[in-house]
Amino acid sequence: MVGLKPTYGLVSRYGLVAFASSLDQIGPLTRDVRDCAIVLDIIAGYDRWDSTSVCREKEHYAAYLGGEVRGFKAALPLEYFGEGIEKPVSDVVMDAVGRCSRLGVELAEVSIPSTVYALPAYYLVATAEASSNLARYDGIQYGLSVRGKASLLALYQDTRKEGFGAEVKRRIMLGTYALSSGYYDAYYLKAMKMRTLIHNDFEKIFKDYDFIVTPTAPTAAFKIGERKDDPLTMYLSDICTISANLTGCPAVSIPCGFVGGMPVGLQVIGRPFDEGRMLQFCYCLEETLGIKGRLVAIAGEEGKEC
Amino acid sequence: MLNIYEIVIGLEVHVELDTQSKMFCPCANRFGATPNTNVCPVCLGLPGSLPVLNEHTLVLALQAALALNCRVNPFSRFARKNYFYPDLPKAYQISQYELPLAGSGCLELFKDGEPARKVNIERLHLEEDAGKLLHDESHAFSHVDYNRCGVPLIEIVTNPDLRSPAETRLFLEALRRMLLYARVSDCKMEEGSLRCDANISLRPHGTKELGQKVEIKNMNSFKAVQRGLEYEVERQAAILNQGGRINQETRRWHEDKGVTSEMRTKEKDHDYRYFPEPDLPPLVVDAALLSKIRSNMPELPEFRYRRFTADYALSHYQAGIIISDPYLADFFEETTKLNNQPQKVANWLLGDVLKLLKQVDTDIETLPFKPSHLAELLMLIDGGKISGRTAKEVLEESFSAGKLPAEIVAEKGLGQISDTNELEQVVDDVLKKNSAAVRDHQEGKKNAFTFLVGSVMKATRGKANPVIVTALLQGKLDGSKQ
Repeated sequence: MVGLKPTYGLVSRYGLVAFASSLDQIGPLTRDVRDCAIVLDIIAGYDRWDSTSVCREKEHYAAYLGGEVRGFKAALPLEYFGEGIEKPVSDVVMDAVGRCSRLGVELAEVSIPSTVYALPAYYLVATAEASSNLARYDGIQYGLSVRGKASLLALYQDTRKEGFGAEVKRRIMLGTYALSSGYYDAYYLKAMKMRTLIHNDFEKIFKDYDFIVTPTAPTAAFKIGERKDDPLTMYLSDICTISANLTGCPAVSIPCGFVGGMPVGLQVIGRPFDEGRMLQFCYCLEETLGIKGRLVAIAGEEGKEC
Repeated sequence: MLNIYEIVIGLEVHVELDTQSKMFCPCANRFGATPNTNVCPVCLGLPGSLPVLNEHTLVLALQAALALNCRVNPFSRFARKNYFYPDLPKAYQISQYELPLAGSGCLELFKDGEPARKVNIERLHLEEDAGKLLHDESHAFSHVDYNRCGVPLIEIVTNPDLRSPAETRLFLEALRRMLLYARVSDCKMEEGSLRCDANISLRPHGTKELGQKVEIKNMNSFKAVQRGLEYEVERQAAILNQGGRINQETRRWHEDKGVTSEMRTKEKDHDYRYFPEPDLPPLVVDAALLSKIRSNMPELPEFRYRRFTADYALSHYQAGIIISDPYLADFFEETTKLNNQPQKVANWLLGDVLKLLKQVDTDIETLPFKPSHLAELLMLIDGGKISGRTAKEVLEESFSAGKLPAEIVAEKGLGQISDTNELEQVVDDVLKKNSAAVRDHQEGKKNAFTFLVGSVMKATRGKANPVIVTALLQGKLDGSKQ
């Protein structure tokens, strides 16, 4: 799968059931880069019903595909290739990156020291906002409403106890805690400060480079249902992608190889509203790696087992 | 015992802004509509909906901030105030917390046209209103009306500067007047467009430290605010006199019983978990916007007061009453423009017009009786078309129906007879029929003349111009004497 998380504000969130409002962005999940560009062409654009939507001239993303990538500058942050990232995964990504240099893309190692803050900042901001966004599912107006007992408090408690799953409840509790009086400064406020630090680091990188290239996740794809009982490992698997959400920058993930028969993702993070050139770069990489053919072969083998 | 304590009161006043549509959606902002008819996905808090600020809300809030001499913050933020209640469909209220729209304001209380007391305003911020629960005794459940949900409000928080329940009431009246003048709200406490909670504490006179404050809610009129606070002063003083301690709590005023009772204590107080509203960008008020609003500001009461006493030579008493209601003041000025007799206009307004307004219990701005009506009425009197007494009758008729005075006079034949020939016939007739009175007059009996004038008036059903009648009678009687 190719996934694109657009710049915050490029795609309207009106109609999107909110999880974390300052991080949420609707993006295409498609078979390949071309489809991704085509879908983005349709969904991107200003919407006056979303106050965080950005008013700017509409672009034609698919028109970027096939363009020359020579001279593009990509930064490889050390923090995304070291500790916490499985070695075979970073090797596969590095190998793919190596092919870029043969296409004339200039590569350089950089450091983004604030990377260590990304995960805690993300899980504080996201859960805080989620605890507020999910509060409306209270059984009063719509949806599940458990009305066995004759008290308002019981209606709220029973409805939400029954209606939410374990992970959602965990996040609501985390977020509620982070916003509670006496803890706000230590958690939510600090997370917002870390967010600013990460944002500043990214801005600095983008002064000299067009893209930041990293693995999409610390491991290759895991199988459906494989790890859902271990929330912390699940949270850690977001470690590479959340900086894009925190900074609002656009990011694309494309498959770039395999470890143990499972696909490995390569992430390209770009400057705000630079989706066109990012897709141009990813399209070129997709062609060079010949990844589509290799994916079809694997899908075929899996198919036989079904 | 009471006067050993100084009373310290601060207010939180909520004022609904008089916009066409709600704060974050295009639904109508209208009081009294059928429940749940002015609603949409945004104000119902349906999943996926998002708020968009109605710019007129900001304009009105800024007008209020300027009227209250506030410092407007060039950069402020919306924040979410989180709590569960059935009248709050998103389970959070969009409000402002750390960075309010405006702060450091003040309102002067005037006495006889002179500033007498300054009450400081701590902050003024924007927020959305919640819906309304409708309790119906015949059911085990309550209904919710979301029409009010998302109606724009400003919350005005005063410093603890007020020193008595009576002064608090004066402040509220001055605040209401100021906001009416700033044209931001209709400020009707009975419709909930102006609501007030009070914080009150006592401390021994001469001490600086504030006593433990108690918040009083559910005071639904200016009178109720004063009564509720008076009760609370007594209650707190009684506790302190017995060496007791005041609990930090919120209390509810019961208008019918005339008492306050505990609503919730500090321990059960909400933790609202405020955080910046991520669905809305920061509120930026640049110098250009502010100066535009400043230059379009409606005239405020003290200026008008000064102008009315200077330009129209109204007394302090007259000016004070007329400016207390901006719509009454508008009415006065417009009438004066049409008929430049400020004293007469003021006398009619303060006398018969206010009396009639009180009788029908309505506001002057909603009357069908307009300045043009009053101006025409004065013109009819001045032109000798009707007498002062007839004018009162015409006013009453014109007041409720909005019919033009001249029309009423014509229709009912109320016009004054000023035709000398016509009146001379009547006078001759009266003199002929009342020879006894004529004799009395010639013998020097004063009331005989009055009787003869009255007879002429009676014969014309009150329509004869009394000045002409008097002159005619005088002439005839003097002539007959010679």
